[in-house]
Amino acid sequence: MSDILLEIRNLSTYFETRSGVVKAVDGLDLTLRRNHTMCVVGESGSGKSMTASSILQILKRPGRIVSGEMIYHFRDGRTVDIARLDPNSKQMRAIRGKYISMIFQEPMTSMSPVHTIGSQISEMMLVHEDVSKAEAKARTIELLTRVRIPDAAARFSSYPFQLSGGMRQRAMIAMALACRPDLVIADEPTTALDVTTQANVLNLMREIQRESGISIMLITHDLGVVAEVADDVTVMYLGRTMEQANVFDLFNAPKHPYTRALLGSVPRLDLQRGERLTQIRGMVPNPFARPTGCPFVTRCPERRFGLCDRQEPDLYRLDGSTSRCFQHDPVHAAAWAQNDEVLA
Amino acid sequence: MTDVMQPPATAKTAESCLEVRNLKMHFGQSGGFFRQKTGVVKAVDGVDLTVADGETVGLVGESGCGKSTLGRAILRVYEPTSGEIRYRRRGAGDWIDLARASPKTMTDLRNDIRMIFQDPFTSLNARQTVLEAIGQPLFARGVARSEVRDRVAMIMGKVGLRPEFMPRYPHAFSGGERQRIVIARALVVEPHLVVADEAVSALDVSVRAQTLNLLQDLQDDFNLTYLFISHDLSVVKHVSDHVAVMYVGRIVEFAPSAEIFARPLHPYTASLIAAIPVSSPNLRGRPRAELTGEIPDPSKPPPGCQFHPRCAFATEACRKDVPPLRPMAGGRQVACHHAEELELAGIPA
Repeated sequence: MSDILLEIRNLSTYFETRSGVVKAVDGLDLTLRRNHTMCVVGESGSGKSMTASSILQILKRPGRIVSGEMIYHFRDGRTVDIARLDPNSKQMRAIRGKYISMIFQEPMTSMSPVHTIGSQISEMMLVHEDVSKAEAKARTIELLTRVRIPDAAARFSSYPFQLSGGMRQRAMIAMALACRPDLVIADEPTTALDVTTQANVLNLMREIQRESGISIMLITHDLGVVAEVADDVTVMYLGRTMEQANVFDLFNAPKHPYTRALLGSVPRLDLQRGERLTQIRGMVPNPFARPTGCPFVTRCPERRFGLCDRQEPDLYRLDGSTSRCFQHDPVHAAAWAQNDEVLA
Repeated sequence: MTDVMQPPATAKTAESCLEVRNLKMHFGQSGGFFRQKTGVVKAVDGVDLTVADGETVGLVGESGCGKSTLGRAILRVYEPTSGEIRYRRRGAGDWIDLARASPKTMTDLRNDIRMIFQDPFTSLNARQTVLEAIGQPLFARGVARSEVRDRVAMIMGKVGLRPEFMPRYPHAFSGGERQRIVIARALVVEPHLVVADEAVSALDVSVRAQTLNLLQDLQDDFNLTYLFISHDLSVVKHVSDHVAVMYVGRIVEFAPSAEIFARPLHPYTASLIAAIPVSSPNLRGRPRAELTGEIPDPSKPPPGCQFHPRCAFATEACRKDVPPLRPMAGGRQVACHHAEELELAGIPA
């Protein structure tokens, strides 16, 4: 069994609208390992959620995958390129829910309000597996117990509105685990929750991973969540990978200026009251007006005149991590270091 | 329930400008046949809180603890059920009780006490230009249009918006810029006290950093007093001089910010601190108490200390008697029977 679960190479997802093309995901590279947690971080508009929708092929029109590959490795050694599958094909439907499932941010809007949580969870098993209704029910109750929903047998016939926010998110996790998937994609699973409930849900996800060996791709903008649960981290900006690294390397020795800026802008508990936060100047550019050169050039504190605003850096491979910045390019690194004419 | 009132400790350095005394804000619930009264939601139930002039008090707690209701009651969005909200204008010696102030007095005070709301997308009128939105409180006071322009231009400069944007509509701005408009609107009348209800919660990290820095600069420039309501403890620690922790309508702990985080006295405060995500993966695995269960329904609060069903240290006394908010050493206050005996973990400073 390969250690790699999903390899995304040069993935681009564009929205061709009347006012222009929105490059939501633009040449993304990302590798998910089995039994590991990959956190994808970035500001709003960086393409995190669109990456998740692309993997599951649930893009809303006019969004479409225009290039790239997503090689998914099954447990038996077979592989499939998800990017080549028709979103409505039988094969894609078999992957969704059974091999890759999703946890959404707001369970209230992503669960059916008119079906009980029990029937919504067992439906997953009935669709994907050859089980009887009674078996599905028994397994659902077992799952609800496992995500620590008290009195699971009674909760089987509760409707989503009858549960609290934290409880609903647990039911959502149970639903994602219904068919014992290999990969769970969680899109901001704790953003709508209180800190205390967030801590409980993160603990639960960690525990489930330890027991069942699933891979988790966790999309978040909260670097605290990343510090808590990630093994690997991908930092995205304007649809591209800016840095991918092991979580310890990312926090202890961030390579890319954007990563450094993000880490500096978070109020940390070890800062003194009133200590100033690092500001990232400006804001994420309009998707129709992408800068020429490096995507981050308009806001980068370390940009070099005549280089960063002219050419776009590649994703350079470093020791165990990757970074999209000229300071890590063997060809340009010397020039970058000498050129101290920082673009004002 | 005991109604014993303890005088809250005031900060030593400055005079207080807001003193909330035994404030109660109850909402009637109705339902069933003929919409009978079925219960009372005690959203705020006997709160004492003192805010010193020029400082920032952070108000934290889980959703449903009544922190927003308290903030709104101070602005008299609601008519408080009972209690006092004593407010003193800067330089003036006499106290005004906002809970009983006449509509005329409140209208006068609207320029003194201002509010910043959470969501900059819903708190701005889409059909008002930036000039109209920020200048609204001035127009309402009958200030001449040319003077309004000057003052709006001045405040826009302060919050980092270009005055040329005055004729634009909110849709032309990003989330962070809109929040600046909301802040400018709150500050254009040169207020004294600003109630910021989750003012940065809806913002992206980079924009949040800009906004927090801005709020700090404005506090220095205009000598503002903030009541900063938030569920995010790391943000609260960053901005606050004092922190008040609220649970089901009551303040359970009040202390200087540095001390409350270093050594919490109430078990609830300790569990909130324990739930904050670590700031670096190197700190993973520090032992911490996980808080289970959920915040009780404020219309059916448990007897005794409201936190006892979730508290690891609860005893018989906690199940029976409501602990009053009582003063402790160092200007701190806590509502726990066992505050002296407990050794609770905070975060090393």
